Amino acid sequence: MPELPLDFIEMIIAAFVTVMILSYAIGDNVLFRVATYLFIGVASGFAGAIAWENVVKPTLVQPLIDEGPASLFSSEGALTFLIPWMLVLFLFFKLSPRLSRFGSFPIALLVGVGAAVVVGGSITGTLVPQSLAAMGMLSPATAVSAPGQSLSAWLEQLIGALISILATISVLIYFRFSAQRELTGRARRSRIAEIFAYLGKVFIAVTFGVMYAGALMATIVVLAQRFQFLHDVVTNIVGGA
Amino acid sequence: MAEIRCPMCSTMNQEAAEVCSNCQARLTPLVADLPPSEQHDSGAEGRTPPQSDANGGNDDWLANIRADAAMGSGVEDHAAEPEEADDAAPDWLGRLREADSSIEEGPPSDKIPDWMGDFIAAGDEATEEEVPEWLSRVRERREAQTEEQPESDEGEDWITRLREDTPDEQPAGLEDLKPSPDDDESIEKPAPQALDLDPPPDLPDTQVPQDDLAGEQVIPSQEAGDIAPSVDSVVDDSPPAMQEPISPDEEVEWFPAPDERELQEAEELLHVPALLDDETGDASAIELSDLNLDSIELPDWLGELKSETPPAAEDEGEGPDLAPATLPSWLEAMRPVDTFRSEIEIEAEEVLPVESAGPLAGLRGVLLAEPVVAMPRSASTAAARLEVTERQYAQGELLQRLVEEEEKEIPPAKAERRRLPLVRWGIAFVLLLAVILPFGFSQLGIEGYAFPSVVSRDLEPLINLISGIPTERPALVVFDYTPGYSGELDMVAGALLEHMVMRSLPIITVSTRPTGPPLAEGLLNKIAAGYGAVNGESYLHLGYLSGGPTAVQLFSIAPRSVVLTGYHLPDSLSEGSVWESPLLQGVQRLSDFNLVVVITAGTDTARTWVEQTHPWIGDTPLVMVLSAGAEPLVRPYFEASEPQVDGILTGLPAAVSYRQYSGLPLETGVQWDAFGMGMLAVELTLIAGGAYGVGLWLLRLRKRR
Repeated sequence: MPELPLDFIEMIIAAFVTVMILSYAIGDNVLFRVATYLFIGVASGFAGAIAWENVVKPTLVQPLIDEGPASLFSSEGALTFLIPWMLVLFLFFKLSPRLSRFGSFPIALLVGVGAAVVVGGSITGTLVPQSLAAMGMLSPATAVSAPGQSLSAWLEQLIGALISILATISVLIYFRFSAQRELTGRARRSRIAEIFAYLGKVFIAVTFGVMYAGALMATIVVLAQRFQFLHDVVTNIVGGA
Repeated sequence: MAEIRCPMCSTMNQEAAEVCSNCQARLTPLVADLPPSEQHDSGAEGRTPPQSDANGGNDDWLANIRADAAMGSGVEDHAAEPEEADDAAPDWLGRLREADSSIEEGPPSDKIPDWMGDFIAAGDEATEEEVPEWLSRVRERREAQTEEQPESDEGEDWITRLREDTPDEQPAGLEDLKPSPDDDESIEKPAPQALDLDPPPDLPDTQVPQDDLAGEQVIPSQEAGDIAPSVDSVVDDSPPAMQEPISPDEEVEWFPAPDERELQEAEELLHVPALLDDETGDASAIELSDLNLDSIELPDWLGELKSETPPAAEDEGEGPDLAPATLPSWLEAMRPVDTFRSEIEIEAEEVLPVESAGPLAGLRGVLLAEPVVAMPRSASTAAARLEVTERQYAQGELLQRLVEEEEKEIPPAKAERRRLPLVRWGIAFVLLLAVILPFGFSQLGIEGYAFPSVVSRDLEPLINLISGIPTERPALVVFDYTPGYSGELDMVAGALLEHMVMRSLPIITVSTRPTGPPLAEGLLNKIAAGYGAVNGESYLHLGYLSGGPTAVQLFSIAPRSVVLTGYHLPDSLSEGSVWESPLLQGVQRLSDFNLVVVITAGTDTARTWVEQTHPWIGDTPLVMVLSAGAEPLVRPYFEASEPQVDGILTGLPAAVSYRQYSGLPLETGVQWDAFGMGMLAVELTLIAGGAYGVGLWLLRLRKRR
């Protein structure tokens, strides 16, 4: 019996799994579920292996193996080894309902630090720069043609700036939910705010439409790539035969 | 010391107190012109009467009463006290009478002044001329009853029977109280003055007993209350008088004829029928059948006599034929419509309730406040109508709808018949067919889709950027996507990575996802195979970067402290640290890389890298290789006046263009045609779906019309 190459086996398995996933077009079936569970299990196992290999082993285990437990109580080891180990042990308390409160400390540390980092990054990396960029569109230089700039380029820049300003203002007004309450109890914004809010809703719809079109395009690319793969597999099998 | 219990709050008060110390309720009932017997009863109910001393011994309370009687300048005791009673009365009573007589003087009691006669005559004329409507109706009704009733009925009148049954004896006490001619000067009181009438100059000399007039004078309640103790003291000495019959002649003293002013007042009163004949004004002509005796304060002894009369008349069902009081037209118009009845029905005394509490405790026929105040009744005025605003009305309707919906029983959901997903199958079939068909184009001799002929405006700066990057320092490539997007992003990022490998730009990969390092390894191995690039020399994998945004920020600041080991390192580095690689020499922070490329399919990941690396990236260009769905939310970072992203490569068309204009081989195979056919099928499906929706809308619109 001739020995099959490993790549060929991998290719056959991948082709089968691909067909199992594509079977969802018929409906939810066992093949699709098996393929899904297989993918989730493989991905989780691989992630665990990566986490052990890249994080746990080099930062927590390998130093103890190399330098011994005494390194935990050294001046440098206390900060780099002992505290991480204590936090890990505290996390294990989460397994016991009676002692789970002791595991809240490392989680609070993670959540607090993570939130601080995210909020700070959002302010300095998105909010302020994007606000400055939006305000830069209102610069008079935008409305004036630069030396040597063609008329079409200047018009495009001007129209683009106007659309950007209009979209920014209208979307912000759409998310402004303050309104005056009428006698009937219904909250209603002013007429101008209603118009701008509707315009903002249009811009939001256009944005989501573009995102949906992009996702659809990516899906078609993936589908074409999978069929290209299946075509190659079939070609190899037929050619090999 | 004797105490009095307050009828309102049951608080014990001192005997001499007139009002309750707790609730300020009056402890002494207001009694006006009560006969001695009734005064005795009321006094017995309210408090314990003091034992009068027959020898003239006085208590303190009596002295106070005397002082009050002597000091009260405005108080006029019109109860004519005969002077003869002084002989039989104790000394204190005589002094009290002297004090009263010294205060006021009046006309002789044995005759009525001339002006009074004219006044009465004038009153009669005025009465005849100005007869109100209600009084006319009363008279008509009375005349009709008089015609119907036989003459003998008059003999059934209770007062007549009372006169007949009453022996010609005078109560002992009354003998003492009967005024004597000698006392006229001391007790004479000008009746007009007492009635607030200015005597005209031509007073008729009508013989009307002055004491009769005085006996009918209305005493204000406050004044009556002030003099009540003195009357009690008088009555205490003559208790038998209550039981003694009275002679018809002396009855006049207790039933005196009213003067004209009183007649006018009687006519004005709504609930009291006239006591005198309208035409003659003679009290003897009063038809007592028309009198509402309950509305007249009769002496108690007379009431008792009334109750002792044989019940023959009552048994015959012909009790006092009392005409109900009627209201004048102007008052009728002012009367609330629904609140009260149209006629005030004056009930018999036996039916009337007895007041059980308060200063009027024990009295019968007291007007009850409860029916007016506490009893529920319909609103009589529009002001009491509930005013509901539109908002409240709308909220009320909403609440009503909610309640009604809660009460509705939800019918059991019918088991939906399982339908075949024909639409789903149809769309899947179209898409699969569109993607599969291009694989047979070559056999069918069909030319596929042409490559893009126009390069994107965003692509040219990116190509120039990659082409101009110096190769001394490595470029960092972040593989932050899952295997599910590898079909798209491998093709898109492959063009950029191939360009970098082609330029021998060292590549360092890292990923914040556990599945990222193998994806990086597989793609780079595939690309590097065509250019002779070797792992560890041309590219290097740092591996997994755990910690999310925090790790990204920390990696930007100090990458050597975050990544300790690499992924699939070459054998030369397997024993040591990844940072010992010659590719990473001189890299201490993020800005030490020549280029940072982030390959991701999610907007959050792209934004994390933009935000967290912004302060530390320096002049190092940041390029985003994105899935087509993530581009709209990342583009603002690229198109800003001061862009935080220096280049964007998105989607398969951009990748093909990149390959086309960067001199890379176009090895897209059939995939490009499959992508084109698939997109065409998607567009046709969207158009068909839109047309189907518009058609349904038009059909519904036509049905509505």
